[in-house]
Amino acid sequence: MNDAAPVAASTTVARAEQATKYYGIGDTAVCALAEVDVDIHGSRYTAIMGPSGSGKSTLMHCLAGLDTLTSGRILIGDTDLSTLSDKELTLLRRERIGFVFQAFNLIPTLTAEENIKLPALLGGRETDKGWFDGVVSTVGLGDRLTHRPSELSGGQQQRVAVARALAQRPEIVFADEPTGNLDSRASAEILGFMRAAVDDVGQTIVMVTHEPFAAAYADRVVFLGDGRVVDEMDEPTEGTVLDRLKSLGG
Amino acid sequence: MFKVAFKNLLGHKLRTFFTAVAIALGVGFMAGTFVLTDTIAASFDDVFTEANSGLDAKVRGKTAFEAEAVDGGQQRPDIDPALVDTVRGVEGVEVAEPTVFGLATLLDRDGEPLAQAGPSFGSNWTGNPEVDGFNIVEGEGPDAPDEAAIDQSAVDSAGFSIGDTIRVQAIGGTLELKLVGIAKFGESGNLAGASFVLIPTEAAIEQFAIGGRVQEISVIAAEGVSEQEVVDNIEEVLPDTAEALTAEEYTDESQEMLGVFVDQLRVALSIFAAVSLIAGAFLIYNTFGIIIGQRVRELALLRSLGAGRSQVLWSVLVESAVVGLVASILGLLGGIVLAIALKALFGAIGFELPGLAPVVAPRTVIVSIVVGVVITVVSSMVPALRASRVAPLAALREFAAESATRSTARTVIGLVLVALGVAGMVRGATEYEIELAALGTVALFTAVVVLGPSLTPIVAAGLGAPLRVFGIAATLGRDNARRNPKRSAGTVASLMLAVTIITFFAIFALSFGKSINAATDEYFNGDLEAASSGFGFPSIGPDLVDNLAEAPEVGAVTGVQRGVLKIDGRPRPVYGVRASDVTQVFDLQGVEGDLAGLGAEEIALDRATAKVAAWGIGKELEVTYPDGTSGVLTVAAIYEDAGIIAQNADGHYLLSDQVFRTHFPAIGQYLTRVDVKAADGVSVDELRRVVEAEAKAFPSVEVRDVNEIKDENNRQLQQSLGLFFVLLGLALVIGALGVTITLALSVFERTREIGLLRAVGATRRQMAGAVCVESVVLTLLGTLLGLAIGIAGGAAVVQTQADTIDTLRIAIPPFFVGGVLVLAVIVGVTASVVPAFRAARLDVLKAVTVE
Repeated sequence: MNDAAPVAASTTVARAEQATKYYGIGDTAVCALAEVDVDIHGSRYTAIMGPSGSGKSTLMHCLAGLDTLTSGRILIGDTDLSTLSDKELTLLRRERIGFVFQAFNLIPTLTAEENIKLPALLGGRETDKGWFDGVVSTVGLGDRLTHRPSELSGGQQQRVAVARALAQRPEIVFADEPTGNLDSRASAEILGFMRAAVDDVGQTIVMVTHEPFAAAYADRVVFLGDGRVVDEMDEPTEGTVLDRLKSLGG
Repeated sequence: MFKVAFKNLLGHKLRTFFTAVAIALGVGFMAGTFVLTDTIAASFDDVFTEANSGLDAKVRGKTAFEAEAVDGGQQRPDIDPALVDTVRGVEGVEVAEPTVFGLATLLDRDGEPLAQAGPSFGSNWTGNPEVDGFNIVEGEGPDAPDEAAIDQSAVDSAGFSIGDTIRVQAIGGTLELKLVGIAKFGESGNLAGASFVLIPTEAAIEQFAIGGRVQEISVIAAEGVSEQEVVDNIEEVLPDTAEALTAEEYTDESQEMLGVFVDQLRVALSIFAAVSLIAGAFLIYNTFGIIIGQRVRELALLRSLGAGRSQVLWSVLVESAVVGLVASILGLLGGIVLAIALKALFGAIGFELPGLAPVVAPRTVIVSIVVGVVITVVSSMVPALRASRVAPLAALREFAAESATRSTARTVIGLVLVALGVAGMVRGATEYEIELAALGTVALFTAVVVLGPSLTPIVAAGLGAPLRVFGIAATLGRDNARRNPKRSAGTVASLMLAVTIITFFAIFALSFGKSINAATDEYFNGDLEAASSGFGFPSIGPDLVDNLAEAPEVGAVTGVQRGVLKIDGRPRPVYGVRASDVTQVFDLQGVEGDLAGLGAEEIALDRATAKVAAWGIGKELEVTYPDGTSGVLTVAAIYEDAGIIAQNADGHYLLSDQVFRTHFPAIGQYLTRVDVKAADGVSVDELRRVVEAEAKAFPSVEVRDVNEIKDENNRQLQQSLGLFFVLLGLALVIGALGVTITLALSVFERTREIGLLRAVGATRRQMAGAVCVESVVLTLLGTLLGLAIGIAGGAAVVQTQADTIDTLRIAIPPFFVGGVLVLAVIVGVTASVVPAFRAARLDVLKAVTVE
């Protein structure tokens, strides 16, 4: 597998080409994505923003192999997702992608440690011990590893989720509103961990969010509106993102 | 929004469907049992009414005393056929025809007894349709002495057709008869499994009647003469040994006699009905518990919108009553279908039951629907009450509403029940009290049900431990099986019940078989046994014993006859043996007095009976014989135990076979078995050739050596256990469906969890595997608990018999335990198929995005 060598910042880790997605059929079909072209650069922290219904979640689901396009294609590395079977997509998610969802990120019957190692366990693999310890200490879960999710606070649960996403050293981590259910302090922690993963080990992260505060942690923001890419911004701050959203009428 | 609503509807549809299935199953099995027994009872009533219609009176021998079936039954003396002419001469008698009823074994094309479920009898065909119970459905009635009609079932199983020559083994030898007619008894192919060979009356008296005597005379009165008048007229000419009764009395008596059989069947089937119903109740209760648990949010929403607690409860009550009613009606209909299917099953194994249309008594309808609705409403109200106590906002916040806390009261009650149960079983086993041991078993079972939620995590952890080697999917399945102990315990309760009962009866029956075989090993000193094949009807003529006694290869021989004597004022079971040889063939464990010289005026009894009655050697006992004569028998010998001869454990008597030959009615002189010991220096093979040659006259007789005797015991036991298990299998089906329903609801409930697992890389196969493991752990859980209770209870109950059966052995065969466990795994895998498929096919995206 990849050796977690930081991927050169200029390389494209994932790409959407003319990505188009309709929900439903015939007259009632709703266009969620319309010919979207996006490159996700390696070792970079990309935020996807946009108002409700802008297609940002759909784009992320398609990029992550959770949903399929109506037309166009998605590449993860050199792999065209549209050519993969359900089983191959599953293995791709397991081996090459990490996930952080907004809520319900953990399996209630497994301990924090088992949850972190879940993708590896599903693949029957061992998790690199040194790497695992590093991730766990980074997110500050050392004394919570044997706890079950019900014994953890919301912030701690999201930290476990982030640790799970990072522990497999995936090519790319997708985070879907990872701080949507957290207070501001816990949110800052989670966003900080993800930022650190990009800076320290060159992790590639794509995050869907509607909070300018969260987007400010990213290297780059992609703005979506009505299923199209309407703008992009590098080195965002909370203020510039807020201004841009206002100007886009979000 | 439309999508969410649709999803909700689908979810509710599924829930409603599963609940309805649970109720319908529980009610269906109960209704089926009612319908089946009612149908059988009504048909038998019809059959006898029809068979005796047109008759006005019956004449038959008079019994010297009444005897219960358990003691050997009525022994009615036969009638001299000359009496038929006397009756014909009585004023007001239009027709009088004798009825002959004897053993006649129908042979198949190879000359072997026709393999059938019941015994085979020979009777007479009078040609008068009002007198003959059978009616010819094809061909014609037998007219010449070499013509015969046989019943439809026998024709079907032997593949005979009209015009064939059939061979029948009767007491006088083998008859070659021409098949001219096929008969039915009412609508039925045969009479509850028994076959009949019908030949003209004259020939029947000659061939089937022992000593040329007949069993009954059927009478039709002349025009204008009442039943009672003709009976009164006949009574005047009858000797003391015969009696006359009206056709109505006779029909009532026959119906009553079969009523006993129907009642036994009803009791047996009621056990299955009760097991099914309890299993069904567990299923309904658990399903509702899960469903109401899932609906807590919905109920809480209603409450936060201003609905009062009672309003919410009323809505659940009305809903469950409607579901319960509809499902109970469906269950009732299913039960009627089940009854028809069970009847067909009985027919398929040769035990054809009369009647066609299922009888649905008002009682069946009322009980089924009331029980179904009440169980449903109670099952839904208990969790609904609990749910309605949760504060609305708390319930809205917490998705999983089922409390994980264990009730202390529950634990205490459970432990007390365990203590009571174990105490009852131990005390019952050591004090030989079967009721106590049985009650202890029931208490232990109840205790395990009560303690289920506490036991489940422990047992499931142990069961799941070895599954770890199958990876994380197996671990997830194991953990899911124990994450909600209450639900898991409720789910496996019905399975546990089925396994407990199956195990209990299996241990009981297998131990019984092993004990009999141990007795054979220990107390049977003979080498061979000639036994009439099955059904307990004696069919060996006393000649066989006499002939064998003269053969030089035979060292000792005795027959065994069974009958009832009135001794000292009470009917008691007696066994006739060839006294001179009996102790050489059987080990009676010590004899006081002279048993070998037991004469026609003497009797021997067992030590326990002698002790209780305080009768010693030389005691003179007043007896009444079945032929009505009285006499005095002197106690000549007291033996320790003759359990090897007598199946009757509550005291028994031995008589010289000479007494049977003089004083018992024809059929009572016949033997059920003849036991032989080889002379010195004669091998068992040589002896077998001699015995088989002599026994040729009785084709229904099989000659067996010691090992074959034991094999035969085992075979009979396995056969009866087999039918029993088919019926209990229905309870097992309910248990398996309970697992399926819980799993399907759990999969529905865990949609997001499954979606997450799929998102982070669980394959469909792994998802299905996790559900499968969960199912197997659950079924093994129920099976192991059931096995443990069943084995403990069965062993305790068997042990209570140790005071009467000194060769008692408790059998817990590894093949049975292993077989049950393998079966449990198969049931578990099967039960998981549908929910596993649903889990594997779940739409990942919908699952992770559902709000």
